[in-house]
Amino acid sequence: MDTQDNDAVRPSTALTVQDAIAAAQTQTAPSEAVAPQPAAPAQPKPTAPKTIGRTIVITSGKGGVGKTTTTANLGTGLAEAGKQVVVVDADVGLRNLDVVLGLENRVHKHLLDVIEQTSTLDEALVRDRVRRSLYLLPAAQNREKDDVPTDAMAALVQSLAERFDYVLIDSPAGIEKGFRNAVIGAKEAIVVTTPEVSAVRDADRIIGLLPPGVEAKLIVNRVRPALVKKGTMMSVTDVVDILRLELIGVVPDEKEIIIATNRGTPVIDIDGSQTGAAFRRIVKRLLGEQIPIPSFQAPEGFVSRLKASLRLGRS
Amino acid sequence: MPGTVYVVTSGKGGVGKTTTTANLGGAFAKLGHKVALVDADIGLRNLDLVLGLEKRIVYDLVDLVEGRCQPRQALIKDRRFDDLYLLPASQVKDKEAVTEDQMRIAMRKLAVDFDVVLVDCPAGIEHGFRNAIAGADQALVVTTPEVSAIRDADRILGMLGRRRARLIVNRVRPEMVRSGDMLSIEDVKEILGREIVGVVPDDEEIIDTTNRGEPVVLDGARRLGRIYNAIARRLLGEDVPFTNLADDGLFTRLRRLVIGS
Amino acid sequence: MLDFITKFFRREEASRTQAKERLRLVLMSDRVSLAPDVFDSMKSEMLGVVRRYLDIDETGLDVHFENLERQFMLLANIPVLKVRPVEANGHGLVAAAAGANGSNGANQPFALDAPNAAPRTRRRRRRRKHHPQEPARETDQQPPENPM
Repeated sequence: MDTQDNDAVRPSTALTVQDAIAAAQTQTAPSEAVAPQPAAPAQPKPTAPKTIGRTIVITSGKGGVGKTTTTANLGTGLAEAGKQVVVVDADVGLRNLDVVLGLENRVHKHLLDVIEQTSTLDEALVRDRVRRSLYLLPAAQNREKDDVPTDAMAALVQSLAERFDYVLIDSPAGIEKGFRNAVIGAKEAIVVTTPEVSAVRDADRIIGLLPPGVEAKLIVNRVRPALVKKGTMMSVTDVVDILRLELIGVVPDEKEIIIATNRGTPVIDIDGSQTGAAFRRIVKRLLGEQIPIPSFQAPEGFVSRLKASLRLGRS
Repeated sequence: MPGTVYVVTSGKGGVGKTTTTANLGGAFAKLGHKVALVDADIGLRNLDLVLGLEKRIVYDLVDLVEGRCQPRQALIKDRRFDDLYLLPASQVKDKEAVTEDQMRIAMRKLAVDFDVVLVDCPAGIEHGFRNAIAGADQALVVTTPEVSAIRDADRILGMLGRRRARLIVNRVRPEMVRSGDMLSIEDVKEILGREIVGVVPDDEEIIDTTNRGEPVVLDGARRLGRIYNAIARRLLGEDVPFTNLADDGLFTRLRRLVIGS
Repeated sequence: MLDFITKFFRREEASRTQAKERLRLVLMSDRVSLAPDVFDSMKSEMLGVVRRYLDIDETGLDVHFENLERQFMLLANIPVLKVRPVEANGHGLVAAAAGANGSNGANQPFALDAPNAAPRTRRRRRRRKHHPQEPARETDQQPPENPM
């Protein structure tokens, strides 16, 4: 995990510090990638257009399926890949993105302060100490979701997109104003579900409620291969067949997630974690790499069942 | 004497409110009480699914509240129990369709005919939540031994006014508590400072039974069935000791391994 | 297995302990911000006690909560203008009605009677109207002059 290089610009595209800033601001999204540019001139072009960052809402309908965990881990992964990332907690009153990232004790101002102009954006943003290009915009804890005007939220997301490569918005559960505010301004959506009937049903509902034009992809979280094999749990294929959304990742269930939240460390940084590895793959796919989704094999036979049972070989 | 209206709430989503409502309702019914289960999650209903009654819905909570039907028409009798009824949520309307006053009146009416009314609350703290607690006398706050869930439960406890609120700790994994990787029940009690009325272990049987629409309490022999039965009895005033979850030790795991259950 | 050994020797703090500690701090922060009126009352009452013993500079007053990463603190900066004289029993004096700031610098007279005068008259008037036979109620407490 290379944390030192987060703020560094790839040397081949910059000659001076000004060029570095201009180059950083013109990083394009993977889908719009052009051929590698020649070495930048000594003077930065004054009319160089600023590219808008990607705005992605992470939503689900059903609560507790892993939206916040996903937002935290994808944000961390993208920052570790060198991108400027802001993760936005849209769960006014029930914030948890701060806690999952271990930043809860550094939260002072929040999103509503910025909208109501009792704080600047810079005062509200919490910068991660380890991944220097990861920022958190916390939710207000003592306010209500109704307090956030939808058009103000849209404007805020837009201005964030002008500043960051990636704006990840952690949506609250449900379909009320909190959800509507979270999706406004997002051009893309990642719908998170688990392979359980209630979650899939709610995901289906939420997909129907996404504004037109939003490009949506699917993550199936908390998969337990042993249960799928037993027939107790739906398979990923079952879920994709029902929801008809492009799959961007499958994340297995692991006790490491609980431990990670206990510590306030995103699981993507825990060595040996399968869940972390799955999030790393999703980050790569977001960045444009074609990585096949592995099929998680259920343990076979007596020995592997023994291992699974006695938790040997687990970190 | 009117029945008691409990709201089953949590703040955090996905901790098991709906499963708790369904199974606790079934447990009360098996103890001989007349039970109504109300799904207050308008727009994202799931109680019907968990009970396997989704195909029998004709009228719903919004129809009842807006006077389009009688309670008798909206309440679905679950034939597997003696006296268990479901009042489903509306799937198409959004939560602003019902006001708090309407909910209060509707729940008070149900309390006249039923011994126990359990209201399944949606996640969050918006209109849906406020509606769900409007008609409730008492609250059952469901949490898991995880940081986010406990934080949200604390928040919810502060929003319940003067209602009596007790905790149900769900998805407990004794082996993780033993290894210091999960908060213990004592930790939860200390942090939230409320009486714990139920401790439910993490169990893959729940997934299976939800898929089938068969609440786990239907089988009185199952461990989970006994646990929900104990919670119901505690709520009725009986002093029931808590099951020692740590019984699921090495021997049991080996046994399961060999028999392959 | 190796992990178990290294854990044992490094005495790595169990994640459960970390979780508990983090929750303790974050809940304090949440609870304070969720009931600002309750904490305003607390601050008022606290300052009421302080004012019995000290004359304080109200304009320079700063009482607030701060979330420093490993500790949650109630911080109070209270500029003191004067220390009030103390009674024989060690308690502070009740502030006088008019000169509430005590800024004249002179010693306040030990004057429990003076602030009581006006209300007592009011009470007597009430008694004459409704209950002429009722004895004077000695137990009525004097409300604090400076609730804020």
